[in-house]
Amino acid sequence: MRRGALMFGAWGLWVGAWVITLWIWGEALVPLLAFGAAAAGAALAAGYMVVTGGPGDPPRTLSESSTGPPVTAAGVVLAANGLAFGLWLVLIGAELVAFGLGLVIAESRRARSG
Amino acid sequence: MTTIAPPMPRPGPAEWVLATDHKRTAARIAVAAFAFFIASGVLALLMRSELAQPGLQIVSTDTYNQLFTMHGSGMIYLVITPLALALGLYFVPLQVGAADVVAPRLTAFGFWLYLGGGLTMYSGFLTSTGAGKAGWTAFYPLSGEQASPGPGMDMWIVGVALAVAGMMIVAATILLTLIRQRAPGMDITRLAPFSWSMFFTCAMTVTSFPVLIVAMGLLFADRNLGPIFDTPGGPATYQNLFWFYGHPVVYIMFFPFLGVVADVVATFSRRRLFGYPFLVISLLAFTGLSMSVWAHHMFATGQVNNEYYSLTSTALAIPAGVEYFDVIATMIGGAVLLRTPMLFALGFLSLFLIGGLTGIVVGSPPLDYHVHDTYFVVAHFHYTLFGGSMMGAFAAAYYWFPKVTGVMLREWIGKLQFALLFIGVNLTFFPMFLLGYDGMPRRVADYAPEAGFTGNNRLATIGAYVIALGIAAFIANLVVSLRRRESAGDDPWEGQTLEWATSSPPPRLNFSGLPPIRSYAPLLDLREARKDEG
Repeated sequence: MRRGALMFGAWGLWVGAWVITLWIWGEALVPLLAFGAAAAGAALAAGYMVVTGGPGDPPRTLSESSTGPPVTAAGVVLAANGLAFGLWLVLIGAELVAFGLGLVIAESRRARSG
Repeated sequence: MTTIAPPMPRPGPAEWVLATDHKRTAARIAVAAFAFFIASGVLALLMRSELAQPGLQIVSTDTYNQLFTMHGSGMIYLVITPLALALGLYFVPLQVGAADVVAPRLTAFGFWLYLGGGLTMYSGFLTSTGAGKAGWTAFYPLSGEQASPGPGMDMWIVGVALAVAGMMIVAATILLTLIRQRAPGMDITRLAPFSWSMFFTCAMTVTSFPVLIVAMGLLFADRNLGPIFDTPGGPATYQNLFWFYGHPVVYIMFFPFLGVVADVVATFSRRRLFGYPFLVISLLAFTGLSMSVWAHHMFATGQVNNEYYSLTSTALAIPAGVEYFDVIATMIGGAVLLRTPMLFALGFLSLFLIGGLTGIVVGSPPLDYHVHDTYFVVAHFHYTLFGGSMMGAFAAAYYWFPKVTGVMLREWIGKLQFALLFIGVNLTFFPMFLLGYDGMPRRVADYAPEAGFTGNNRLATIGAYVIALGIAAFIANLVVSLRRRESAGDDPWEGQTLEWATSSPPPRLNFSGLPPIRSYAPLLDLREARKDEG
């Protein structure tokens, strides 16, 4: 875990060095922001890994199948298409998203209760 | 000796749709990506048929615009990136000794989002105004409401955002799996080359893909709510946002296949990978640099710092050179076996080299001014993406098909396919260098008979059909090999990495037991230890 943090840290520093070079060379704000965010993201990931260091995740129950993901994704796709075709499709999509998330929550509860 | 493998238990339709096992999700992504590959390839054949001679014979200019837009965006957003991530999703947990990915349900959600996005993009063909027609980059103002009116372009924008979001989710779960689900003994410094390549691929994905989603959101808002990019610096801002995704994605489509090739070359050279730590360090350096080169696509706009982007773009040659050196040095002194995966790996190395070296030309502003927006650029990125990445994808297909299905693909058909693709790629894309250098612009449906472009265009069209024959050979190989099954066993290639320590196909939780892990190549360690004892 710590060595993983080191990889992210090294990557963040490396990108950060190029961000500073770009800044010194005098680039516009949007490229600097996007590029700086990438360096900051890598540094944050490294920090997160240091804070949550130690062994990997504990054993977990893995589901064989789940209805929630395809239903939720169908909802998101319909709602996003609704942005082009009208509010009615957004609402149908939103209902499917809610239904799909409900399925995922129910499945997770069932798995936890054994 | 040929043995007959018992057929795999076939998953029912419900299992195909609902399974959360990382292997099933990866297989779904691969199948969908291959279907989109065929669809986008048919569009390419239509374009090449149109360009075989001067004049408009098959499609109108408007339809041609839709064809090249959907071909390019299909291949980038729906084929090569997803194929790369599907390989990672299937094999990273196996290579690190994990039972599954970190969040199997979320990963499955990512797949469905991607599929929905792809279908949304293609559904644009059903609208009255046709599909997206502003190129895979959707540069503003070409992608604005005035130049590209109608719902087809909106669906393209929505579809791209959904597909990219889906793949970003998949990449995030692979990255977290690499960090949090490694088996005891699998220190991060012992990752297989392919897993390392996926580590950096996924890191780039989660930092660059959100920028494209933002760009697509802003573009959609610009078209439907009011001007956002319609300002003096607006188009350049859009390009900055787009290329901040658009250049790293080139390496997202390259790294995984470089990782595959490193694994394949080591396996078929019967040697440990040469310079493993240097490969990892060069991947790290490459990843950082690849985030800093995006505006070399904008040299001709005059609105970016050409010196900086030229420096970083040229500097990419250093880590790329180290990676090439490592892979080639692995073969030197090894007992090289020219099986089909190895042939495709060698094809990857030679064709990507042409793409990479011509990248130095477009990374140099004075040279780029000459070839900008010409067929030279088309040739350059097709050598990297088709000649490179797709050769790597086929190397992966032939290398890992026995692990995934338990049966071997036919060698002779594989070698025939390799020959057809290698000839086809060079016949199609090399003439494009000459066309571009002579000034033929890209994204045009026609050219004047007296321009002197006809001969090279005809060669490129013949090459495209040779490529199509190569793809047909692959499909035939799949059908023949799955119908008349030759058992692969668990480790047909004498692999070095952990995925070869389990059954073919792997069980639901991947492993019943793990060998001791003391390096990135635990199976090679075992073999060497046995040799030392015996």
